[in-house]
Amino acid sequence: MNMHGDPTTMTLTRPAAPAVTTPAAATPTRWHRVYHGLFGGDLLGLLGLVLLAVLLGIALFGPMLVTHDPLLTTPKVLLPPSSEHWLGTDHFGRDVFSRTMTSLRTDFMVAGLGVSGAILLGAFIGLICGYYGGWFDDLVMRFVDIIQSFPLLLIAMVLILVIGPGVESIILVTMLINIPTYARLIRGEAMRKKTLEYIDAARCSGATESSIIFRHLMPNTLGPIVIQGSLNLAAAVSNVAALSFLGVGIRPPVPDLGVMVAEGTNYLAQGAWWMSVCPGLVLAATIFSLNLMGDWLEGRLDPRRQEM
Amino acid sequence: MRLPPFLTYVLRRLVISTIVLFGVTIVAFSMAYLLPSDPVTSRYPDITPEQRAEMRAQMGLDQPMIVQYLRYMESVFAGEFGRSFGTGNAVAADLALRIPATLELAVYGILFGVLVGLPLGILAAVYRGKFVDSVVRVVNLAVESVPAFWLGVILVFTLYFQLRVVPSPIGRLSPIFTAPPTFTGFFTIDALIAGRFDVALAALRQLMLPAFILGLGIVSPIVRITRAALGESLQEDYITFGRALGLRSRQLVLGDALRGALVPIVTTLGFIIGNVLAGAAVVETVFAWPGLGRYAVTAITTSDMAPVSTCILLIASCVAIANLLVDLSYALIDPRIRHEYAR
Repeated sequence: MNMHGDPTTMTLTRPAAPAVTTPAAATPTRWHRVYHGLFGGDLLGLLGLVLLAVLLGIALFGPMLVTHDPLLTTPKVLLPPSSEHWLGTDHFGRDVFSRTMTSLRTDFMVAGLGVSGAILLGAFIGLICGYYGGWFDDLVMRFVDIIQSFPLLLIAMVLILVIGPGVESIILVTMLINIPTYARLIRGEAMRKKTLEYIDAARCSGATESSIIFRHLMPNTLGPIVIQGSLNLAAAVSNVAALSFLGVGIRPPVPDLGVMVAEGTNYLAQGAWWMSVCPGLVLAATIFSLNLMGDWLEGRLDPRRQEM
Repeated sequence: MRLPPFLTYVLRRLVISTIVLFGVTIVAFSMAYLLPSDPVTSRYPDITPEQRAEMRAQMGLDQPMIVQYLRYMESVFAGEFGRSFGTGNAVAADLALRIPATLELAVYGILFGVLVGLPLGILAAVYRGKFVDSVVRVVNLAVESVPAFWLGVILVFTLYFQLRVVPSPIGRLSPIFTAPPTFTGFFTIDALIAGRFDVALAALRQLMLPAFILGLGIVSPIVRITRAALGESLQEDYITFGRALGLRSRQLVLGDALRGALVPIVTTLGFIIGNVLAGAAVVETVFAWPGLGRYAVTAITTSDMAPVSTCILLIASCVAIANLLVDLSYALIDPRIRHEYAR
């Protein structure tokens, strides 16, 4: 993976004056080395990271960057983009730009919390099943089989309505429907790795079962979790948006990208494309950046892909 | 019997699938049962509590859950699959109208996805690590990142509202045509059988956009698995040997290596079918397509119990059957696996 770099970049000597930026092609700068070291010359990974950083910045600071109150309804409905309203206004006269800027936060939070919850619980279940095996493992895995044969989008809809609509229940459902993926992934990893020498070594040196599982086995399953996690985040953002679009996700008036696209569909005939196009673009960019990150992590962390 | 071990395997799988599906009916029914809003109140908002109680008793909603489940299962075995509060029909009758619509959409969608995904995956595998591979990778990630519903909205806006090159998104056939007599349930094929080329063309034009979007959703997993599986089988000794023999590269890649890679590719296809059926819910909503997905979404949002559990059961059964067929097809595809069974 690191073949692209100039041989001199591999040495440990630091450039004499890192502050001076020389033309990149002439002498490799520190940034050049960081770039090659981290990304292995993978421009797409860098692009994904930058894009994700920008979008995370918007999610964190978006509410401070708005030009209008995202919830304020005004009589100026369905105005096209202008210098006053950068992305136009919607059917309630609300500023589309301000709504887009504030809604990313919800989407990141829901996907992030849901996927992290799924990783924690799924990893725990997977570790126990993979390490101990036996009837408990059989039972859990058959249950996982059943869950994975369900249409998850429809199940998510039903569960959200059962629990009661709201941001919390979307987080909970995102978590629930993703647990099986991690349980299965980590179980496979645990089964493969529990027979390796370092586990035997830990056992011989008197480590307790729980210490073997959580201090020795778990850290070695992190690679696949990280890869799956970032790809899963992309899918989660996309799913939450689809749920909102179908009317069971995040409910108005809380600004949400999926809801904004859905609301916009009713005004396409009147030519109000900006209501759907702009929030959707931000949504697609978010999913794209997460997918790029997942792809990059896979290239960095998956030994099988490194060999190729 | 030529393959008795194979047959026992099939039977064992069928028994296991049946048991799993029984589990699925319990889970599906409990979910539908737990749906919060009350079908009586939502349909007749201004009735008195007495009338309401009477109607609930009539519908059997006052019974304990286990009784309702057994009644539902009775109706499943009678081939009725419960009754929809929304349409007033047996769910089986409702589905008979809607399944062909979804099936037609799914078949064209999957066809499109495979026809685009497979060649792209082959290209990426053959030129692994080269420029072509990177291009395919980026395109793939980008395609995967576009939400289907948004793409639908954008395409409807530009191609229908602005350019008028596609018909309006109002389902399977514009109302100026009458549906062709049912033969296969596919409008495009039925119209051809009836000799109505104009109707077939109109149906195809309605189908184009939603099938494209549904198919685009499965391109990315197909490309990914094709690239990985074909890349692996290109490293096999028999390919190196074939090259040493001087066999033509095209024959080696498309004939021998692809055949070796077909098992994981077909496995992914089985998994994709479940995705397509669930994805149909979104696409059908955008294009007012009168199919299974929209029926399910409407049933869920109106707490219509029997359709909800039947739709979940139906899709789960499709996934189970697809997985079974996929497992069975291994023996057809891969002589090594056939050999295992024959022993």
